[in-house]
Amino acid sequence: MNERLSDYLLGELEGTDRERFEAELARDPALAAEAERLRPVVTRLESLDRSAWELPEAPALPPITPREPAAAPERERRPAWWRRALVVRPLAAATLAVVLLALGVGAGLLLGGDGGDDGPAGGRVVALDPVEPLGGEASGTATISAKDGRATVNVRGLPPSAKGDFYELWLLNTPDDLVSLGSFRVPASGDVDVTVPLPANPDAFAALDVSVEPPDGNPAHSSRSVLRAPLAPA
Amino acid sequence: MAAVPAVRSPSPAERRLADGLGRRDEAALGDLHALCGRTVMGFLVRTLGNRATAEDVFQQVFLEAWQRGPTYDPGRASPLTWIMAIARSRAIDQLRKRVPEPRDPAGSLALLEGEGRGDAVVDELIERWRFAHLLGQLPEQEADVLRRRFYAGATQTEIADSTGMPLGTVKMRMVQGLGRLRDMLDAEERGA
Repeated sequence: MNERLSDYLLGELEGTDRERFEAELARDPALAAEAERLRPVVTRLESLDRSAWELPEAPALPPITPREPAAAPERERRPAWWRRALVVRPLAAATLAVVLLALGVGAGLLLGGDGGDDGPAGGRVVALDPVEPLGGEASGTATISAKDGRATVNVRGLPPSAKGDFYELWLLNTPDDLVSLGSFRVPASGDVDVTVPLPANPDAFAALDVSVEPPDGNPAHSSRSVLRAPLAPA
Repeated sequence: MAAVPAVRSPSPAERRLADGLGRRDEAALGDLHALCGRTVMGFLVRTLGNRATAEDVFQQVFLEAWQRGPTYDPGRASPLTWIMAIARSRAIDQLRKRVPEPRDPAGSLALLEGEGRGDAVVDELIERWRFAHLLGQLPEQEADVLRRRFYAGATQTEIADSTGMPLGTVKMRMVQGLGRLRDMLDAEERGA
């Protein structure tokens, strides 16, 4: 190895030493090629953000061990009057979807007033996995902040809402024990981010569920789940 | 003419990682976390300008990696490239939801200047952190002389004085480190 190569690349050769080395480069194509090969690396190192030299510790992985999923609710088994007040009526779904989307944006605007966190920092993040056969390639995450009383749901790859249909979010234990969190529609992109208030303690439920609901006026769960996340205790 | 998809030759370790992710093996996610976690977190903290938010997004990134594991193809992308693509998307999602009063003018402010420009800034940050990740793969002796030179600003003579290494050894490790970095960059760029 030519020791002066590092001197040259690092700008530590001056005056006649530098001229001599450049003459050597002109005579030695292999040495010149090596200098040209390494020069961009030096440039990148010189412009490297200082924080890149001190990578932070990585946070622990989120809990991923899936629990036994809650059974899909059976539409017929739930009385029609069940928690009706918490269930979004399909006729109001379009309006509520707008409200929820506004909440999603508004929550960021209102709660992130210091320009810092607009998500529920410190909230529990859970993975929404597709439920066969309707879930397909869909996926998502939900950040649940019981302290703030809200959940932010980010879903991707859902089929765009068909005319009149809407998606509904649920906290779910059993077919007889579930709470609607609200509904939303999915645009052509298949991606949507929604923030919803939590009317009940999520720790008291086994799963967060997303179902597709028809505009049939029935407030019960349609039994057509597309995504679900087990809710392990925080 | 149709674009030809890049094909790379994954290392045995990358194949094992991909197999594990494909089987939804929790240990494989742990390996991915060990390999890329600090780089992903460094990128997110720098891009989002807030550690708590970065931690939330970090968890989303690894959950998404877990969910998408069966689709990861090491013949198309290195694990770092793959997970940084996920991190890039989630970081951009987060920034687009944000109030326009970022704390870090070099990071999130620039990202809010315009969608196209914001994406370009994120891509630039991704490149920097990919490079930082490669630095972390160097043998410690080579990484040490590079850190002393490019982070601490010491000359080779000063490095020799402070470490007690012969000056010739410092120079040799400097060139070896630069050469190894170049090889890793070429390998990444060939099959990124």
